[in-house]
Amino acid sequence: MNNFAVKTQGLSMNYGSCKALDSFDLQLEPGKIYGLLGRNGAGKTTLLNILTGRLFQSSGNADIFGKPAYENIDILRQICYIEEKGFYAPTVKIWQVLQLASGLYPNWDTQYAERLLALFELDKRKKYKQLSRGMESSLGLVIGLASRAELTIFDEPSLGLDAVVRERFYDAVIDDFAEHPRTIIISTHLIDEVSRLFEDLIIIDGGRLLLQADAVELKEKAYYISGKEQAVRAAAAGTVVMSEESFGGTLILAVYAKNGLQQTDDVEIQQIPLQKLFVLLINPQIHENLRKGGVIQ
Amino acid sequence: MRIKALMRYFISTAKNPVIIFICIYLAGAIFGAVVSSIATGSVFFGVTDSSDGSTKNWTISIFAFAVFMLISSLIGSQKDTRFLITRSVSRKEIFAANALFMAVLAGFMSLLQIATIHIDALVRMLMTGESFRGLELDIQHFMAPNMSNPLVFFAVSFSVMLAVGAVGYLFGTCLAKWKIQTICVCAIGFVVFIACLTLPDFVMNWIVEPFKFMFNDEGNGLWIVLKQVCFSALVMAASFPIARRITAVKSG
Repeated sequence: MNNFAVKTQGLSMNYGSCKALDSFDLQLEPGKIYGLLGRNGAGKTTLLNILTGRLFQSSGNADIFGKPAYENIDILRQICYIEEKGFYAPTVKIWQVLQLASGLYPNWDTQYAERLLALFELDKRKKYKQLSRGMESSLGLVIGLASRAELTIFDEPSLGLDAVVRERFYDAVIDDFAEHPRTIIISTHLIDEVSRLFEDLIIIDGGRLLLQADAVELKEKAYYISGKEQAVRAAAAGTVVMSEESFGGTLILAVYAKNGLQQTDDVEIQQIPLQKLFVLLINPQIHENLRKGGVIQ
Repeated sequence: MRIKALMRYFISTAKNPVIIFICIYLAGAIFGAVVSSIATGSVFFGVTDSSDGSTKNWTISIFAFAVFMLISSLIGSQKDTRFLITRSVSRKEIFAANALFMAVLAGFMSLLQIATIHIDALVRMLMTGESFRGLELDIQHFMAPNMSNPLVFFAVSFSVMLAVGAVGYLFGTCLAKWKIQTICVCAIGFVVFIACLTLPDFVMNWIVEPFKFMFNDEGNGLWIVLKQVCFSALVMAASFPIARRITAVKSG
């Protein structure tokens, strides 16, 4: 019995001589919200395209709920993948798009879709070609949430959205997830803004899985320590130092403390924001330090 | 349920192009009828045939068949695949929905053909005073003797539409498999269409002639229908293995 929502083994994808994914192993448990992070060209979209059966891998396996998604209608109907762009025909109206979605997703909630349309201020009589970039994204959010698909994937869901709509989306995800738990993957570059949604983080770099970790646990172990050099170094003893900067007599260390840190009066300790932590983690030197420190594999 | 949802979506997206096509087709038929009635000599854009002693043309019909072939190749070029696969639709379902949609369109085109030929005949009758010819005109000379019967005409025309549509679908699918964009499929199809119009002898001798047995029936026309439907099914079956290996990411 396979209990994973997503499982990949040795997944590789080559575009000519370029390796978009390289022996990628990933296991995602069902019923969690995952943040998929990586720089542009890291392989995020390629991974999502393979998982949803849109693209064929060069080698390896990719299973959704224990089976490959390719041509498997039972699996496909459990997946809702919201891309950056919708690719709807320009002349279709929003209500027609929703009508199609209601026929494709078995758990579709029409009333919830109506509420979301109102929340995101979308007029369902509008044609797709009349929508602004932000409205296109909002329509994707309505479909992704109202589909209640067992595996819902958002690829850059907040492109073109204003801050108000983005906040409404994050709140809607949290509220709906509480009532209807399912596996949600959110691929985004707005890391700090979305970080409150994530339960687990998946960080990809150069087509390889760099890190998969509990988001809260990760944040609670990554700190900035600042103060006088001697005190800072004493406080950082037993941690893995990710970076250091000094301004005059003040030293700032970014550390990963596997066993947490004790607050002392002579140094200032702050949690590292997730976005900054992501930037640190994808630095090859820091990554190597963390690997040597046994923090990551 | 899922196929029904896809069909609804296809029909809603195709509505405007279909209306535009009807207008152009009907306007072209009326204009053609008027011009050929006014002209001192016969003006035929398509092919004439006098093998049975009379001269007939199939200009109006061949246009509908050619356009339908072009439409089918666009459908076969998997324009919707990129979009539909992200909506969790398998290639099997896309194929089935495409085939059904083509059948619906073929039926519609056949009805439109009947209407257009009647309009053409009516205009000629009003302009020249000749008797109303109805469906005796056009594609009759390749078909069954009783093609003037609207039901027989519809069945035969529908089955021929299916056959040319299947070939168009295979053509579009192969081009999509070779990563040729939909717009290029359209352009290639259009060039082929124009080439066929400008080379009627070549088309008749090298393309139509080898398949003439497919269009002939001395009986009531059902044999033609059966042959065309079997041919369509075979061609579509050949398209499917190609269609199911097209990646949604590269088409569009």
